[in-house]
Amino acid sequence: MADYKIKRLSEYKWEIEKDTTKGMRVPGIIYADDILFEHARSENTIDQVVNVAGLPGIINASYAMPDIHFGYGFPIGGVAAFGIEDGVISPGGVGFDISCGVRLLRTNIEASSIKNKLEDIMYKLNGAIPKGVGSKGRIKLSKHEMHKLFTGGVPWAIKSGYGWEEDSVCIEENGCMEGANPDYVSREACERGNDQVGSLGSGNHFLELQKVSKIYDGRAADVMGLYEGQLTVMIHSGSRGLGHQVCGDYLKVMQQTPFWRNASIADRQLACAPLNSSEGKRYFGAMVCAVNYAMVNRHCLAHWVRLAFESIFGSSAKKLDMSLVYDVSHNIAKIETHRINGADCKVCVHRKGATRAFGPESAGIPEVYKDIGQPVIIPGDMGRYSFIMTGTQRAMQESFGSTCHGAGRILSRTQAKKQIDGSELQKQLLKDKGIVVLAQSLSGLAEEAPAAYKDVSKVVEVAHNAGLSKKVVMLEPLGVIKG
Amino acid sequence: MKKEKTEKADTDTEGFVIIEHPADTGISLTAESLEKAFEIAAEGMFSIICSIKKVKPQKQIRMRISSSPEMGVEGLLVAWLEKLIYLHEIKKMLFSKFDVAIKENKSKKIKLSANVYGEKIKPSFHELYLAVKAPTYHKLSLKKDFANKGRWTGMVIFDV
Repeated sequence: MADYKIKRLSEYKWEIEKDTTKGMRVPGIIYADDILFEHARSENTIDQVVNVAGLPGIINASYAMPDIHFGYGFPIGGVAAFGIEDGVISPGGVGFDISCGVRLLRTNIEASSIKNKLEDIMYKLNGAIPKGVGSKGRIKLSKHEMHKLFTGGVPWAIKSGYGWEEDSVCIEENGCMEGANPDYVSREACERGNDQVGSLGSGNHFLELQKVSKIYDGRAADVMGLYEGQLTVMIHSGSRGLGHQVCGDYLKVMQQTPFWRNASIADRQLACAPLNSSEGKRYFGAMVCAVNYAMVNRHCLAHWVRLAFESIFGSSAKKLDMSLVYDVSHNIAKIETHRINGADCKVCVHRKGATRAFGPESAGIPEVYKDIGQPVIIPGDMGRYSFIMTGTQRAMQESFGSTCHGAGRILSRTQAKKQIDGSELQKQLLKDKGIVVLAQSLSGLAEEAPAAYKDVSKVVEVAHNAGLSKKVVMLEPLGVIKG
Repeated sequence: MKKEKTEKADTDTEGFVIIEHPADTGISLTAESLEKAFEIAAEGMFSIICSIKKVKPQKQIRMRISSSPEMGVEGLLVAWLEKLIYLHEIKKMLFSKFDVAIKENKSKKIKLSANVYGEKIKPSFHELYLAVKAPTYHKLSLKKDFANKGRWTGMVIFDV
């Protein structure tokens, strides 16, 4: 790691001082305790925070959330805002899995009541959810329908018969981000996406049945309709091949511009273009299509889950109160209004492995959550717990309304496969914790083992104590479907 | 003889090794020629996706791609791997054999033509491991190593 001047600003906040000799235009700010900071330092992730600090038009700082870890281009957990007039947009600041995100459904079912039939339920859900390498969904869309999806998002899916009318209210951007332009999505991207709507994918994507195991903020939990012992469903997926192709297409486009040739930025994965350039506008229009696709993808997965529950429990999903608590992305670039030096300014906020965490009374969050702040969904690992938090005013002031998005790995995939046997892990989780895990690939399962991840409660604790988001409930896994 | 999935990088032997990355995965490769480097990179990528030894080279697909001078051979390598992921997803196929030819024209544009061979995905048979979302440009390298008998050496990190 290069020699940086590091200043500890508070117990959970560190500053990498601006150093123009390293190309930094702003300082780096990392939210972490001693252990998480040391982990970031040991992985050389601070270099990635510094690289982002050198991008043109960056405002205030290059931020890293408490789950910071080594990525490609941006660090995972990276947040950066850019001026609309003089700033850039970077596909690498969003990632390949555009709008990868998480959705939480609640139920009125007591988790304890399904203990004896959990395995049966999991196998039925497993049959209902398309997943794994090369998987396709149950829907195949024509080019015309794909364009409708890109511009119409979740409201289009609802009109087409998937989900409930009221669902879109509890999705970031009401399930349809503005600015989609299907003309900027390549034929290859459309072809990759036209049969993958409603499929989980593989890697760290999952569907979990969970139990609300602890309440930290009773008032916020009440507003979200969450209570101790309740059964919930969490879905983690993204924009599938479509998003991957959009990112790849525009990384190529942006590296072939005079702007990039003169930019002198070390990492090609940070390829970017001015927001107001033709390349920047085209990427934004295509990226929004992928964002809307990802939200529809999770929406359709939730639709299959509701249908499976209706069949399993012999009751309608409405009677089972399978309402959507929230759906939020953690790989995205958005035009948002933030208070900068006392004035409201429009900026382009990149969140790469970071979650929007808008505080109470913020614009753009559902009316029902105006008093408590936007729900933030933080998935953990398959053996321990996940968390629901709320956004805060402090996050609005400090981190462009952003917080962490998950645990972050401590073992590489190779190390995990070397140390952990997928089949043994499956048996052990069932024997020790009663967790039913179904996976397409046992080696893939080993890569996603709890031991491969940091304890997400440590990350959440830092986000809570730093004031970026507030703990509401803890969710423990009962059954897991891995892609 | 090709070396697969060993833990120690070896620049004397033609082949690839899977390399560590904290969140994702990657390969480093050594090849006797540029064309061979592209073939080995493709084998490395499909070894991350599935048990490549079980993929029969039954069906042939002809493909062509090109790269501008500013993208260079490294950019062409990413474009090649992206194209294979695209074919894998839309044709629901896995590939195990690759015959690559590369030419540079007068304007320094690099053109690749290839025959790739594989078969339709049979999930229970092919032992599918992990989807590769994309090859990245992060730490991407591909160069002729004159200190190593003119062999081509390279590295690709994949988002998985």
